[in-house]
Amino acid sequence: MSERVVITGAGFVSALGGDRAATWAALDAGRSGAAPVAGFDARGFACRRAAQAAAPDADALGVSPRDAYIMGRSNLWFLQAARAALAEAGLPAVCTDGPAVGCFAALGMIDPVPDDLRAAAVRSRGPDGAFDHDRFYADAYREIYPLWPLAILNNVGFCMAAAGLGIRGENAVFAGGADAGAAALIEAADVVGAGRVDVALAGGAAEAITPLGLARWHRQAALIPGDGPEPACRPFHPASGGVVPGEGAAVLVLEREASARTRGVPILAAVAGWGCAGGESAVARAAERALTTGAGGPRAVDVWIPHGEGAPARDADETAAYRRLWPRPAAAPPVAAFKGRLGHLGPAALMADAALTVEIFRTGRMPAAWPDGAGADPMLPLAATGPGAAPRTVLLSVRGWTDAAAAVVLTAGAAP
Amino acid sequence: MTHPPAAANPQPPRRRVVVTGCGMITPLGRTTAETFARAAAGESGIGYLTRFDTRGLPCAIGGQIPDSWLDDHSDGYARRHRPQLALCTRFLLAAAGEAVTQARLDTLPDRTRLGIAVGAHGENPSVDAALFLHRFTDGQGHWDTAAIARSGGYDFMQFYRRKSDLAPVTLAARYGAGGPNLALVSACAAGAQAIGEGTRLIREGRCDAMLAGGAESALDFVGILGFTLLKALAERFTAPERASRPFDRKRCGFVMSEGAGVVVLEELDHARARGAAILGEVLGYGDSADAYRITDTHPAGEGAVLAMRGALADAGLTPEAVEYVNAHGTSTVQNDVTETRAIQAVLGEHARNVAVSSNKSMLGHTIAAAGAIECILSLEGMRRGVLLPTINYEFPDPKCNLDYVPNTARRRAHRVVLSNSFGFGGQNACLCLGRWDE
Repeated sequence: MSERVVITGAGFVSALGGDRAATWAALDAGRSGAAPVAGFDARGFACRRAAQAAAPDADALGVSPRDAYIMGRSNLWFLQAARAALAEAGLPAVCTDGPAVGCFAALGMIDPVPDDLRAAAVRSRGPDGAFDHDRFYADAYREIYPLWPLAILNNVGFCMAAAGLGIRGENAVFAGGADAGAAALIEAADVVGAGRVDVALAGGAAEAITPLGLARWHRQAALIPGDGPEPACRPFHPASGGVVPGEGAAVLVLEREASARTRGVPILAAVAGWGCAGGESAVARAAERALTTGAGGPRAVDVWIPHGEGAPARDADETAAYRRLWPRPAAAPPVAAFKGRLGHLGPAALMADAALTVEIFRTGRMPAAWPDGAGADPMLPLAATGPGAAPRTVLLSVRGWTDAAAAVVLTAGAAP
Repeated sequence: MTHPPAAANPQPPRRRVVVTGCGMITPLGRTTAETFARAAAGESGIGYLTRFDTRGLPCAIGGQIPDSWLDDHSDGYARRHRPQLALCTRFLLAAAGEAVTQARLDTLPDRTRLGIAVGAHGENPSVDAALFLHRFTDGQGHWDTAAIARSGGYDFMQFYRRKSDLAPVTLAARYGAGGPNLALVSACAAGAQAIGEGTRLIREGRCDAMLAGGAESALDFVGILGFTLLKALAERFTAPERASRPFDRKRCGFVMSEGAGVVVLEELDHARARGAAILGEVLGYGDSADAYRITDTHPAGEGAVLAMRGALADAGLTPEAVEYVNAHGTSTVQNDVTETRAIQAVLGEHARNVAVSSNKSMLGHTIAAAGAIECILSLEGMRRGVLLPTINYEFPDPKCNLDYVPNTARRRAHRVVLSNSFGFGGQNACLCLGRWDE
C-alpha cells in the first residue's frame, strides 16, 4: 500500500437494523438479534436460533421483480448496504466514472430453492403419482424458469450490484467464510492504495438462512442447540453454548486520504495494516503481520475485536493468540466481540465489525458485547461499555471455516 | 530476461513474478505437455457426454475427461478425502501435482510464505437431491426436516463438495501452505483472476510463492441444463468435435468442458535462490466489470477493453509490444464479435499484425479453469515458439476480421502475450505474460 487508505462510508444491514445507526442503537441498548428461526419450520434442526435480518425491500432499492429473484435476499442486502455506504461517502448512487471505482466482495453459497423446481417435478409425475425421472429428463425440465441458473451463480450478487451501481473498475468475488471478507477488504485497500482505482467498495453478504443453509451451518460450525433464551452465544465465555448463525451485509467505501480530503468528506477510519495466515497459530501470525505493516505493533492496539464466534474450542484458540500477542497482561487491550448478538455473518463478518468500529470511533464509546451479567468470568478481559477513553486503534481478526485467519488494523479517522 | 520492447510507462522497481511450475488436466491430455502437443496438432477434445443421462437435452456434448486419467493422478491424499472432494477439486489436485513437481516445491524453505489462489465453483447441486428435498416441503415455507434426517436419503457430503472455497483449502492442506488463501468465484474469469491476484500478493511481499489456478467440472445435468436454459450452448453441429468454432461465421454457442490448470508463481529472486527453472513471467494483470446486463456482454466490449488496457498498463507496455492474444473466444455469436472489437480498440492498427487464437476451439470452455489453462498454454507457446490454432475455422465472419491462426498451428517466436478471460455476468480479467530468456 503506497498511500494511506481511509473509509468514508460504511453501510450495514443486520438482524438489529436496516442500517448502521439502527444496528448501533440496538447494540448500545443491549438488544440481541438472535431469535427462533423464522421463515420456515426449523423443527428437526438441532439449532433453531438465528440472528435474521428483515427481508430486503426490492422496490425501495429500485430492483425489478426479475432481478430480485436472481439476486435473492443475501445479494439484496449487499446492494442495500452498498447504496448506504456510497451515500455516506457523498458519492452518486450510480458511479459517473465507473472504471475508477472497484468492488471486492465476499459472498457465500447460494442454495437452489426446491420450489423453483416444483413445476418441473409436478409435471414429472407418472400415472401412479410418483416422480418419473424419464419424464423429467425428456421434457419436464423445460418448466424451470430460464433465469434460474443465474440465481445460483456464485458471483451474481456482485454482477447485479456492479450493473446497478455502475462499477466497472478492478474487482473480485471471494468465497468462503469470514476470511473471504478479509480478502475483500485487503484487496480493496491494496488497489486503492496503489492508485489502480480512486474508490473501491469492500463488502460481504452473509448467506440467507434457509433449510439447506442451516443444514450446512450445522456441518461447519458448533451451533447453539435449541432456541432457548438469551444469552446462549457468549463469545469468550467458557459456558457459551456455541455459534448463532446470522444474516445481513456490510459494505465499506475506501479511498485514498488525499482524495477524501479533496472531496471534503468525513474520514471515518483509516486502514493501517493487514495480514493473513493459515495453519498453526494462524490467528496470532495474521495479527502480527497486520501490526507490523505500519500499524505500530501490539502495544498500539486499544481494543481487539477478535473473530469470537462463541464456540468455546475456537474461542480458546483465539485466547491463546491473545496471550501470544500480549504476553504482559498489564499491556494487553480489552476485547469486544459482537457475534453473540448479531450472529456469525460468515463472509460479511469482518466488514460488520469494521462498520461497528467506525461507530466506536465516531461515538467514542463501546457497546455491550452481550446483555449485562452474562459476561461474568470471561476468558479474556472485556472492553468496558459506555463512554470512556475513546479507542483510536482497533485490531480486527477473523477466522475461516478451516484454519485460515486474517487481521486488519483500523485507526480513528482524524489524525492523532 | 530480454525485456519486451516499447516500455511506455516504466514501472517503479517492484518484485517480479515468474512461473516455475505448470500443471493441467484437460480433455486433451493428462499433463501440460500432452495437452499442448494435441492442441498444436489441432485435435479436439470434444465428444458426446457419457457421465450422465443426457436424454432430452438439446446439447449432449462436452469436453469430458476420462475417469481413468484422474486415477493416474490420484495419490493417497486424494483417495483419503475423496468423499468430500468435488470432481473439480480432484482435477485441481492432479494439476497441482504436476506443477509442484516441475517447480520442485519440496525445496521451498518456508511454507508460511506459500499462498493459494484458486478459481472454482464447487459441485453443482444435483437434480436428484433437489427433487428429493422437494418431497419434504409444502411450498408454503414448511419443511419436515426431521423426516429428511430420518430418510437417510440426503448426501450431506455434497455440502462440502459444493463449497467453492474447499478447492483452495484442500490445496493448502495438501501442500502445507500457510500463506494467504483465496477462493475466487468470478465465473469464466476466475482462473485468470486467481493468477492475477496471486501475482499481486507476491509483488507486495505478502508471500514468496503461490499455487494459483482454476478448476471446473460442470458436466452434469444441472450444468448443461443451466446454460441450455440461457441458450448459451452450441446446439447445431455436424459432429461434436466441430461444434466449438470461435470466430467462425457458423458458430452458435460454446461447448462446456472441464479440467484444471495450476501454476507455481514465485518472486524472481526467490526462484533463483532455489535454482528453479523459470518458465515465463507474469508482466501484468488487469480486471474490470462490464456493469451491463447480467446475460449479455457490452456490445463494444468496454469491459474487455478496460481489462486489456489495465494489463498492459500494469506491465508498462504499449499495445505494439503485444505479439499474440490468447482470446477468450468462446464460440458464442456475441463474445467473439465484441472481443474482436475490444482487441481492435486496444491494439489499434497493430491489431492487424497480431495473431489471435482460441484454445476453446479444441478444449471447449472450462469455465473457472479456462484462464489458468490458457495462461499455461500461452507460456508453453512462447517457450516453444508455437502459436496454437483456432480449429473449425471455415467460414470467415466479416465482423471478426483478425488473424485467428486458422486450423493449423504456426511456428513463430513471440515474447509478449495477452490472455483474455471474460466472465459470465460481466467480470473480466486479462493477463500479460512474457517469455523468459536467461
